[in-house]
Amino acid sequence: MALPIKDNVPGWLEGSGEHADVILSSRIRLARNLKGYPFSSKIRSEDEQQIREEVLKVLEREKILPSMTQIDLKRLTPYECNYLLEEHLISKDLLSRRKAAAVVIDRSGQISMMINEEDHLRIQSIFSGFNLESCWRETEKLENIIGGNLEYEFHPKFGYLTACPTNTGTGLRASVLIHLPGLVLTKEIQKVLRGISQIGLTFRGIYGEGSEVLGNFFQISNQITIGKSENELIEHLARITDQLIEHEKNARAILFKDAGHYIQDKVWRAYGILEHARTITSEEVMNLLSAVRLGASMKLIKRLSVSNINRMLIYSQDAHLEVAAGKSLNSTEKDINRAMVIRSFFENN
Amino acid sequence: MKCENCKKNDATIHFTQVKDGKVVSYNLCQECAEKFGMKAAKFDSKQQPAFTPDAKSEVLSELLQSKGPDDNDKCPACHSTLDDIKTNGRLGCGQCYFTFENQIDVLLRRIQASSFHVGRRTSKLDDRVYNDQVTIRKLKKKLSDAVKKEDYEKAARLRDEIISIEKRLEVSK
Repeated sequence: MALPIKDNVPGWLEGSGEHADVILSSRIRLARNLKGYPFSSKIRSEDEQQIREEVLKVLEREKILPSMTQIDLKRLTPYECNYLLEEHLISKDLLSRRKAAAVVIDRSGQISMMINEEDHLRIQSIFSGFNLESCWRETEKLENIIGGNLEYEFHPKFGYLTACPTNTGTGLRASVLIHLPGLVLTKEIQKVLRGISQIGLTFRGIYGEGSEVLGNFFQISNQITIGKSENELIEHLARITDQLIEHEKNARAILFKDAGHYIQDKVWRAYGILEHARTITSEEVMNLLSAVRLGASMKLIKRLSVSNINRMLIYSQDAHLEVAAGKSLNSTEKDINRAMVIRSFFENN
Repeated sequence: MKCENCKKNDATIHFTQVKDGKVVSYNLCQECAEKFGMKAAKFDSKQQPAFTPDAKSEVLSELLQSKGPDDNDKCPACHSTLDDIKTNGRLGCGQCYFTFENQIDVLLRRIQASSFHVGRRTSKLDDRVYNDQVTIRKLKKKLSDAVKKEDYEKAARLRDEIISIEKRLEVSK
């Protein structure tokens, strides 16, 4: 099955947005449920089917559907599903509901909507760099269009109702994907993350199993969804992210001043391995890419741009390798293909 | 929120205990928690914050502990009981929020900034009706206070205000 965006780079990978040297992407998602249907834990498949039909009908009526790709998850192979996961277009939860789940994605990959996830609708927008405003604008637009045609579950006091109370109220989750090698290397990261978790924000590593953090990439998002307006929640995240960017840039400057040789060596060794290795594991590639990304953002490495490195981060992942190969791969094949894909980025420059 | 004990530091430790069949919750700062012998409550920087999406069903389970008379109530729309909600870690449908309004109110005030949504809204009419109901409750309280203080003039004014809002509610039904 032809996947969307296979040959196009999803908009958010461009790496051209503001502060792209620290922030990979920004994302906002809204959770909504349609009135008259039970939530996901009690829903029947007839309901799920109906929800899908109703929503797609609205998109068609509003003339949005033509510019979007509609994907029925149960028609995809497992690795195609994982591909969408790696592109941040769907969630693990949606995959666990493959039978009824669907996703609509617009051409740029910047706006998407999951249907029949934990909540009936999860509208999402991702933009490159630090750009929560664009994310909110697009998410709100789609939410308005659907809300103008279908009725959402709403309580005058509790706001938009969601399956889990952690989302009730605004149903909003705003997050940024941030690269913090400076703070990790200067060992300030624990203090910073502790501080973040005390002011209504949460963090998690975006690569790595469980609580492991690979490549110094983190996702910071709001924890609170009710009691503050959408704009307040977004502004709060934006303000803290601003501070984080500042801290990170200072940490990088200190590192280069006090440990310049050590950092440069780390960066260039990583560059060397990436350019020439014949097999690389996914764990190793994350750490190496983190080092060269630091190097590129500090203008040490000129041959690879931050935007290229962002692409390498995505294309070196397991399911992307499988989609490129057109079939499922075993562990060894993946490691070999990964190294090939990485090397190709050096050849094309 | 501030620590309930010293009222100075920010409360970072939140926990509940069941005492004599009642659910009691505490919000303490690191120091006070340790003073009360809560060794287990020591903040481990490697630990995830107490309320991450992964921990949510455990918290839901704990906070929806109700030993009250509402326990066997079923949501009329999806037939979920509080027990169902605890097991699934999720609510069954929109109506559940109305059926179990009190417990959810308590839950939201604990795990979120508040239980009152102040963001975007859909139906404006729903809002007005609800706001009127809230106002009436407040006025009735003021009325009974006024009567206790024997300020009958004020009580009469409040009573008239309540009647006019109630009339408006009748009309909009």
